[in-house]
Amino acid sequence: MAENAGYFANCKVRREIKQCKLPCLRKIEACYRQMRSLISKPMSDSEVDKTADPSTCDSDAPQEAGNGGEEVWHSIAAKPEFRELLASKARFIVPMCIFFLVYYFALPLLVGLAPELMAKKVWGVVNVAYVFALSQFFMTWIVAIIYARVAGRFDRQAHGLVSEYKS
Amino acid sequence: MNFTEVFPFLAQTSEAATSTTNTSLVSILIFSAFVALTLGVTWWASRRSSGSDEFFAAGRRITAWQNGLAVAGDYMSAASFLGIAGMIAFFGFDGFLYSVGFLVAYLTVLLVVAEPLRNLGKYTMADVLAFRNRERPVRALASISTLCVTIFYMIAQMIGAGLLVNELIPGDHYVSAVCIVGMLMIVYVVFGGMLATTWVQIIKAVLLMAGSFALSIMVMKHFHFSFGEFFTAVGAVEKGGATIDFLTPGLKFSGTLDLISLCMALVLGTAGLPHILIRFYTVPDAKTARGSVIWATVVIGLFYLMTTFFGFGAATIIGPDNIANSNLSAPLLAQVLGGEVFFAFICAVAFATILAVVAGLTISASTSFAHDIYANVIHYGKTPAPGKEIKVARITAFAVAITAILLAILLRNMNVAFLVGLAFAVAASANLPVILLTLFWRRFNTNGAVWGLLIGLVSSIVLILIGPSLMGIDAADVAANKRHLIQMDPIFPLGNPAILSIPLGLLAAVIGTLIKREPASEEKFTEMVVRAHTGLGAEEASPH
Repeated sequence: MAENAGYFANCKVRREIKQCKLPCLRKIEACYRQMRSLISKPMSDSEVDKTADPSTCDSDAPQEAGNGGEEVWHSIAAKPEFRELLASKARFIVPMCIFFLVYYFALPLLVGLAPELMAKKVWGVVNVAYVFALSQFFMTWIVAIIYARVAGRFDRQAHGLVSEYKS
Repeated sequence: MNFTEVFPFLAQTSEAATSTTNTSLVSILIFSAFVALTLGVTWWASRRSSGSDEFFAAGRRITAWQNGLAVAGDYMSAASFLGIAGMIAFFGFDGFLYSVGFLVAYLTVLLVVAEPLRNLGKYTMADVLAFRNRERPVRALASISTLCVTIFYMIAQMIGAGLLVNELIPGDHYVSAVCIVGMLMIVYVVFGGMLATTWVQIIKAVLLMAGSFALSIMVMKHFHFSFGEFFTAVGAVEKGGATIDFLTPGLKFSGTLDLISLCMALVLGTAGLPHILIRFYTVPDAKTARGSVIWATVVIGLFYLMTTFFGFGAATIIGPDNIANSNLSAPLLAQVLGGEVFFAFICAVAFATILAVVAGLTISASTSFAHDIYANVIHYGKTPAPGKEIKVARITAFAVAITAILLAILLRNMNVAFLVGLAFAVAASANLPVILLTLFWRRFNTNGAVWGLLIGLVSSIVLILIGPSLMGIDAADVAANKRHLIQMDPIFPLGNPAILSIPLGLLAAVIGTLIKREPASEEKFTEMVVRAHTGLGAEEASPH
């Protein structure tokens, strides 16, 4: 919750700078104060949980921050780094999806349309169909591992973009 | 000279009788140990503080490997363990196609759905759909779709539990087995919430992996750990008086369309299964969600790889002609290879599998009802009293369990294998297109979401109803539980509707969008994209 409060505080400051609409600011401020008082006041666990229940302050706050902070989202979206993040994600994910879908649907298609090819024996009774089916497991693992490695780069890019908005 | 030499059948029957009681005793002991352990976990979970994030999302503090195992535990159902083993034992390669599809499906979850979902949502799939659309219609329909998928899936699992117990313990215990499963899932969900459910899944996943591994090793031991010997046997399975190469495709599916339709439902349905999707809210952030899918992919992949051993093992060592009920192939194989104690162990594992999956389904249904319908449709714009959402979720868990128990008892004699296929078809045709369009199409709006969900849901249900799963003309001597519900020629020729219902759902969503403009939804697209890809403003783990 402490991080949350920091995040809203940050939003509040940004909004003051950007001369945001007043009513929305007041609402956020009220919510922020409420949260501050919750944090500073020593409370039993159950009390904190009740007041921090998403149905009360917690759930309204991000929504308000979202509405009021529309400039924040647009300013991030306009950054060239963000466009670069989306583009590099698309450059990786779209071809990967096409690859795995083609590879996967090739199995039922070939089984249905080229049964002679699929029935060809590779090793003893083991045929092309079974080897192909088995290769799908390794295909899945390899794609997953490649993605895990590449996604680390996306994480760093995204972190660089939003670190100033997070406390 | 003794009696048994003269009357061998005497020895057999008396032995069989005593071994049955021993088996059921061992099985009940193992299962009781599982229940005791999971109830202990539930008690521990219930003592942790009880905020909404705790109840619905386990405080978002589950780690990647824990959630990976829990996803695997949620996913590997009785349909996987018992059903696929039986399918391979009877139809060889064609059964193995299910294993492949169930795994490859995780690439859709990993590459497209998991991370944006975690960044945008709070407790349910509908959170993402309602992010930039009008909440009430979208949430109501998404919740109905969730409840349908959940109930279809759950009934299939519960009927499986009842039949399994009946095979194991002499006498008719169907109703009590179904009731025990129902009661236990109520206890897990009502008292332990998501945290207890998560650990039930983890324990079950470990048990199931251990059981499958032991079974696979025993099969290979039977073939002297020689793959050559194993596959030679697979190449010559006795079935119905003929010797068949079980690696040959086409023993079950004759049409290419049938096959493709099934493959579409499997590979696209998983990313729309609500009980799998809500698992990604239990981790602290999108990065952990991604890590947990990778863990799940490894565990699930290993499991489905092992279906080769115990599926083909049952076909070669026992033979499909000697298996009365295909769903019992795996337990029977355990009996032949490892004796009564191992048989009992595998039966207990299967029962635990069913229990964990229904617990996951129950929490997904009750979260969806409480968070979507109660808090955001009925009480739209108002803030319900603190803790009310959880209370409603608990009541829903009761209602869902009672409904599932009653339906499982009512539908007892029906062949319900199609229900799991139906769940995947609805998930693939109603849920996934709408999730994808919400995430990637700026123009997409409330109208499109409503149309997509509605048409996807209705078309998959109707196509199943008029398809060969429920319609068909049976010969007079077909057993009651194998008969088709409607004695007519099927109107729709394919067993799985996905090949038609997915395009229908997608098309409806696109047309629904195009006939109505919704500037508010388009404006919020930018915010959604930033949130989805940066994680800014995403729900955070509660500090404990």
